[in-house]
Amino acid sequence: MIESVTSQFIPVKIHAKEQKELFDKFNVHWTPTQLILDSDGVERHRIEGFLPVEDFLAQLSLGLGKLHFQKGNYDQSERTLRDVVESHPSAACAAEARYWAGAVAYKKTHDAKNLGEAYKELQQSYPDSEWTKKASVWSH
Amino acid sequence: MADISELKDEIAATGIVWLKNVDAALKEARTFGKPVLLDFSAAPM
Repeated sequence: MIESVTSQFIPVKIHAKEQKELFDKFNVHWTPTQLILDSDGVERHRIEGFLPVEDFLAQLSLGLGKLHFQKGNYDQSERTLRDVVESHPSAACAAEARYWAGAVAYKKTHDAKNLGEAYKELQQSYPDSEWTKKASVWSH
Repeated sequence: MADISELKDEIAATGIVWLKNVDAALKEARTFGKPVLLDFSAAPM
């Protein structure tokens, strides 16, 4: 976990007793909460509540994938999101990562086939996920 | 800026050297091309 954090992020610890004003500034009302900010200080992903290590690592990668997506770095985003699914298939956010990987592939190619494939895989691997429901409009 | 004993405690607890200054972290983020991870905690120090 140390490697995942330090190699990919600039980590900052904010403690409620020391920097309460930052809780207000970033609209944080519960701990633990982790935010991923881009280098301009814009929030790109939020993790609220405790998670086991594997789920936490998957969330960090999901956040990176979403950050790259929002920045228009589609190749990097798709690689990162697909890696979440492959490396952490049982993590709670794996279905969300597969959903966004499909969305990124579509944004990159404008080929709706990518959306259909994402839905099919979600149906097979995560039939009860809300992300499978969200992708259900991609079935046609 | 944390003193050395605080940094040692932090490294011992998590193995990660956490910054405490968001502005300094953003400056590093721009320098190294990395995003910033803010960890909001209320755990005993």
